[in-house]
Amino acid sequence: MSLNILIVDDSTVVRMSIIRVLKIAEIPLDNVFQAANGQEGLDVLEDNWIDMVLADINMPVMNGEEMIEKIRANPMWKDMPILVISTEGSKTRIERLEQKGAKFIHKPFPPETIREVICEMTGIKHEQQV
Amino acid sequence: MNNKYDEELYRVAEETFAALAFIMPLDPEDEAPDETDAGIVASVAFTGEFRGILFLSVPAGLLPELSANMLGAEDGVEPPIDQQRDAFAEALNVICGNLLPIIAGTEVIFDVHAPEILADGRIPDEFERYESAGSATLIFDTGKAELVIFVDNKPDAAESAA
Repeated sequence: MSLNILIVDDSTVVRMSIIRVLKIAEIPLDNVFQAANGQEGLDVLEDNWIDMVLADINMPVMNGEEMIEKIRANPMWKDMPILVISTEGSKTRIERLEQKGAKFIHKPFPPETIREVICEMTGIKHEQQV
Repeated sequence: MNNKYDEELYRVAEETFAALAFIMPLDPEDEAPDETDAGIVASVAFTGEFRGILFLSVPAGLLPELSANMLGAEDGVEPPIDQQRDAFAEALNVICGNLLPIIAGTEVIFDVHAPEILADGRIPDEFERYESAGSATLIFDTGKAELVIFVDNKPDAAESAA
């Protein structure tokens, strides 16, 4: 099984570095889509089959929390695995995100952390374990 | 170091450069190398329990290494300027995001705004009349990186900033 992943972050470099980390972590990837804010992320979701969303919180136009609320409100996407990758340090906000069914990884992060969390969330096996 | 958040600022910045780009500062007691290139300055504002702004200035010569390491570029490959600036802004964003829970606690929610690179390469003059809440200097092979944070602790700060 290979994943279609959507990365939502307003920083091009962050999106590129997350893709690099996904490759280092040997996550089996099919297509990787990118969006620079929550609204763009929703637009990509409308037009493509996505298996998992990786999102930042603080973004212009529409932030990650609002995007997650809209994803959960859509019956098509209500069970979408969502991983928030952010510098967010507020336990209050992190708990709020987790209540919306998102997992959280704090930036900066090591590749093995992202591998473990994605494998756990999607049920895929790390390629070396197959 | 004598301001309120100097030590926290230094530690978070040191950890961020190391974790994001494997760049370690020299010993703080070392003399900074001669700076031969212009600096670049970025700011990131935050609002919440209180509001403030964090500035980071680095020698422009640090940007190729910072961005190349963040992107895992091959040796000798220099990312384009827009990616160098984006990497610099992200480093500041990570420093700010990791600093706020240390100085304000983990129960407080802040909105961290998008970092901005300042066109004239210096902290605006208007900040000269304010006392900073913290500052730190990291010495790299390419020169000094300097951070300074200004905080407005007025109770109505968050509302008036919204």
